[in-house]
Amino acid sequence: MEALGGLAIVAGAAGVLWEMWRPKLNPAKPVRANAYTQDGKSLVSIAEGKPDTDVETMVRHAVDALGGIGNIVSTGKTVVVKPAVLTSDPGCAPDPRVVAAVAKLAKEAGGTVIVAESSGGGDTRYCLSQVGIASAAEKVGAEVRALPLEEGILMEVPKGVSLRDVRTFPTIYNCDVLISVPRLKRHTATAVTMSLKNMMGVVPDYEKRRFHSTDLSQCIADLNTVLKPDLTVLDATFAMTRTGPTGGDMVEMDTIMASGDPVAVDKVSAQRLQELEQQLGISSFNVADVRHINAAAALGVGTSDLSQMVIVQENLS
Amino acid sequence: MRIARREFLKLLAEGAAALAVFKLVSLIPSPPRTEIVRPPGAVEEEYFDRLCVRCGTCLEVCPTNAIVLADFSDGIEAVSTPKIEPTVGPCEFFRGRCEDIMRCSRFCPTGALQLVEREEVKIGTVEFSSDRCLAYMGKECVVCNEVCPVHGANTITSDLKPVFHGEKCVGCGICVHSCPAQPKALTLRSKGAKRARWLR
Amino acid sequence: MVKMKVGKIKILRAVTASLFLFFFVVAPILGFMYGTNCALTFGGFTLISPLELVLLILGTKNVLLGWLVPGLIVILIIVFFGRFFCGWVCPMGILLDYSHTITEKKERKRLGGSWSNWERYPILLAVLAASLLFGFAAPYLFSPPGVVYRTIIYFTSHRVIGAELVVLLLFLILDLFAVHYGRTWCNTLCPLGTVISSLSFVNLLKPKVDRRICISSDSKCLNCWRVCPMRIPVTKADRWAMMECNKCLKCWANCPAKAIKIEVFSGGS
Repeated sequence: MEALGGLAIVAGAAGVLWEMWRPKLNPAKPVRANAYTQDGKSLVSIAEGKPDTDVETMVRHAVDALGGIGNIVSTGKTVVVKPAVLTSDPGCAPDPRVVAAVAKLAKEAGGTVIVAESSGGGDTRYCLSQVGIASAAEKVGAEVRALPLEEGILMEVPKGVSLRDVRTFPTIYNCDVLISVPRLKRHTATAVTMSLKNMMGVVPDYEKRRFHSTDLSQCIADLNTVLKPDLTVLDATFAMTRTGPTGGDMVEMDTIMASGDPVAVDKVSAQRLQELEQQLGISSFNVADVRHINAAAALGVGTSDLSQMVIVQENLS
Repeated sequence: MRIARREFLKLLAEGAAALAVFKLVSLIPSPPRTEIVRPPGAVEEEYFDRLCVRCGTCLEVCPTNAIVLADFSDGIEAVSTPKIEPTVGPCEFFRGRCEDIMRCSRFCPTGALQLVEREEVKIGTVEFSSDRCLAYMGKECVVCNEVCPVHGANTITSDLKPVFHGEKCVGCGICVHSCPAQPKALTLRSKGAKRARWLR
Repeated sequence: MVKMKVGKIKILRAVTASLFLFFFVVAPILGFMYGTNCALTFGGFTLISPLELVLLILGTKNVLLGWLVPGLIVILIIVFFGRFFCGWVCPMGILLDYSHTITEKKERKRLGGSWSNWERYPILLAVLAASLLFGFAAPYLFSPPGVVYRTIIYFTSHRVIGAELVVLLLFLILDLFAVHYGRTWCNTLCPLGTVISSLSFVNLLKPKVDRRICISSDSKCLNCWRVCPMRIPVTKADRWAMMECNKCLKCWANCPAKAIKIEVFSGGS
C-alpha cells in the first residue's frame, strides 16, 4: 500500500515538474489586416528626394501618402520599431535618421516606442550603438532593447510549410504594432533582403540557425505569416548593390518606401534595385525568382502581383 | 633545528624522486603545444607556458567569452592556459566589442600576451569541411560570408557556395561561431598563427 | 576573553575564505580587479604571488626587474603575517579542514607515516629546479588555491567545469588517507606554503604559551600539539618552527588550562 502511495506521489511530482518545465506553446496572435489599402489593393508609397533632402521629411511624406501613422498607432499602444542591424557595419543597417523619424512619428501618435533587434552577426547592443541607432532612438525618446537578453518563447505557426512553431521574444509577442525598418540590400543567399527577411531579427540566434539548416526562404515566409510587420519603412537613401548584406557597394538612391504589405514593398524595391544594377552594369538578379518573396505571397502574407498594388510616387525635390 | 644525516639523505632522495617524476610527466606525449589557438598577442609558445601564471585575468576581461582554459587533452603543461574557442565566443579584436582594444593583451600581467597592432594579428586560420557545409548540400546559407569582417577572406562562387582564402583569414572565429550547420563546417586551427616576440 | 568553541572559529575561517572567494568572483564582474591568488591585477598594477614570481624568473631565465616592487609588497605582507593566508584565505585549506572531519576519528593505517615537516623543502626545490632546468610548467597544478580559484571563476564566467577539478578532487582524496592530523598537504608538501613559511620572519599573531599556567609538565597534556594542523610542537616551538603557524587558533581554543595567548607583536619564545 505504501509503495503505491509513494509511487503516486512521485508520479504526481514528476507530472508537476514536467508541466512547469516543458516549453509552452503560445498561440499565434491574430494577424492584423493591412491598414493601408485602396480598393482592396495594397498601397506602396515611394518618396524620392535629392541628396540634401531632409530624411525625416521623406519618411513623413512616405507614411502620410499611405494614410498616416494614425491608421495603426493610437494613444497607449506599444510600438516596436525593428531596424535591420546584422553587424556593426553601418552600411548594412538603415540610416539612424530613418529609424529616429519612424520612432518620432509613432510617439506623436501616442505610442510607446521600443527600438528592438537581435543581431545575427555580432553583439546586439554593441552593433546598435556602433551604427548610431541606439543614440538616435534614445534622443527621440524611444527605449532601445537588445532582444537576446530576453528568454525566448515558443509560438505556433499554423500556416507554416517548413515551420510548425517558432521561438520569438516577449517584446515582439506582446507588442501592439510592429514596424519594420530595413535597408534596401542585395544578399548572397536570397538575392535581396528587405522587410520580409528583416523579420529574422525577431527570433533568437538558434532559431536563425534552424532556418538556415531547414529551408531559409520558406522559413522566412512562414515566419511572416505570424509575425508580419504592420508597416514597413524601407530605407533606400543608399542601397547596397553587387553583393550583401555586408561588403557591397553603397549607391545613392535618395528614396524612402513605405507599405503595410511587406511582400509588396519587397517586390517593388527589389525591382528598383534590379533596374539600378542593370543601369550601372552590375550583374544582377531576377526579381521574379526571389524565392522568399514568392513563398510569402503564396502563403497570403501579401501580394507580389503588381496589378494588385497601388503605387503612389512622390518626388520631393 | 638539526636534522639527522639519515633524514637529510632521505630528503635528498625524495627531492630527486620528485624531480624525476616531473621530468617523466613532461615527457608524456601530448599534442604539440603550437596547435593550441592562443589569444591575440600571444608570445612564442616556448615562452608562453613559462610566462603564463594561469591567473585567469584574460579569461575574466574577454568581452565575448572567447577565451577558455586548456584542459588535459592539450597536454599537462598547458592545463589552464588560455585558448580561443570560437564555438563559445568569437574573438572580436578585428571587428566588434574588442576592436582596437585587445583586452586580453592589455590586462595580461606577465607579458604572455603582448599588445600588438591589429594588422599584425593572426590568431590562426579557419578550417572548412565542405561535406558539412549547408550551402554545399544545396541549402541557402552563406552566413560565414555575411559575418566575415575581413575583405577577401571569404568569397562566394556563382552557385552560392562559400570559398575560404586562408592567407587573408585573421582567425577571429566569427564565422565558426555563426555557422549554423550541426556539426559545424568550420573549425579554428592554429595554422599560420603569428606570435609576438617576447621583449626581454 | 570570550572563549569560542573550536567549531565556531572554524566556521569563522570558512566564512572569511568564502568572502575572499566571493570577492575574487565579483570583482572582475564589477571590473575593478582581475585574476586570482597567482596574480591580481587592478588599475594597471599587479600583485604577484612569490612562488609564481620565482617560477617566472626561473622559467624565463631572466631577472624581471619590473616585478621588484609588486613582488616586494607581497613578500612584506608575508613577512608580517606569515601563513595567515593558509589558515584564513586558502580555499583548499578550508576544504581540507572540513574533509578531515570525515576520517579524523577513525584509527586506520594511513599514508605518509614517515613524512616529517621537512619534506616540503625537497618538493619545493624540485619544483623550482624543474622550472629552471626544463621549463616545466605543471607546478601551477600543484598550487591548490590557484586550482580552486580558477575552477570557480571558470565556472561562474563560462558555466563549465574545468579540467582542474580532477586535480582538486585528487588532492582531497589523497589527503583523506594521509595520517597527519589536520592538513597533510599543507604541512608536508605544499610548495606555496613552504615559500610563505620561509618568509614569515616577523610572524604576527602567533600563539604564546604562558609557562606559569601551562600544565604540560605535570599532566602530560599536549592538546596543543595534537590539534595543531601544522604539526608545531606548540609548547616547545622555537621561532623557526612557529613560522609554520597558520593562525587557525585551534591551540588557543583547545588548551584546557587557558595557557595560550595570541600575541600581536612578536616577543620570541
